[in-house]
Amino acid sequence: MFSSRLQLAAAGSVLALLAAGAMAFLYAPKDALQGDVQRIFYFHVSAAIAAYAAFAVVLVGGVVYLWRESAVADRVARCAAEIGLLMTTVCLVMGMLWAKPIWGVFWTWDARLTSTLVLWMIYAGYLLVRRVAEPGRQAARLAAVVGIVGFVDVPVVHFSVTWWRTLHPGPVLSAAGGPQLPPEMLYAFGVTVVSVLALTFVLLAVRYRVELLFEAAAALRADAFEPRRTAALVAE
Amino acid sequence: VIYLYIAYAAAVVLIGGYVLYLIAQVRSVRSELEELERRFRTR
Repeated sequence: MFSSRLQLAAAGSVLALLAAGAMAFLYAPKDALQGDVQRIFYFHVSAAIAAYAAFAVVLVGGVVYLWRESAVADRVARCAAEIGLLMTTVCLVMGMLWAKPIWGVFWTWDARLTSTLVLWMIYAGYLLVRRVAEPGRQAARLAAVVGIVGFVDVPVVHFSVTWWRTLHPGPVLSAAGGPQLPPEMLYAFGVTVVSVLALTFVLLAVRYRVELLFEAAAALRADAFEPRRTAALVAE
Repeated sequence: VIYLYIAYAAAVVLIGGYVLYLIAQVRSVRSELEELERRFRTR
């Protein structure tokens, strides 16, 4: 069902995640101010980067679909939106569990947190549009527009800590004067980002194949129940 | 420290849950495809 290359990539991403976990917990030093809880940073930020990447795929897929009506682009965008939503959920949940011991609350209406929640809602809306709208070109077009317009929130989330100085810390990696992290933390973070991006790619590839199987089943089902209609379509 | 472990456990549950959902989807669509193919063969 899944190619050996995909199985190899899946095994590789699991191994990379285990290595990243070991680096985050055992190799990276304890933060002097926050203590061990700062280790949430590695997967929290990596999940955010993976979500940005998945939503960029939704954007490109939407543009290609509107331009060429490519079924592949639409399918890829649909799958990427689901993975992006998963990664945004991971980022939000880990962030809330980091906020509690540091800020004293799980949630506050800070610019970064609020814009990330809006991002989550936009892509949940994208998936809802796909489910509610009549399947076919109309749903694909509507979803492509939501995916393109929704991407506007990604730079807002990213730059929210610079534009509005609220509670969430400012940029650590892209700060002026270089990353504000010791090398060990930087290496651990690099390995985590690569492993989470690899996992995102594997999940996207698997989800794409599942979507293909569903489409094959739907085509067969249509033929099983309405063979005359299918025969007429073929004759056309 | 408890929040560190809860955060990573939550990430594992979310991603693991999604992987299980994908496995369930594959199983469901495979059994449907097999059923449809069997129906086609006997028609």
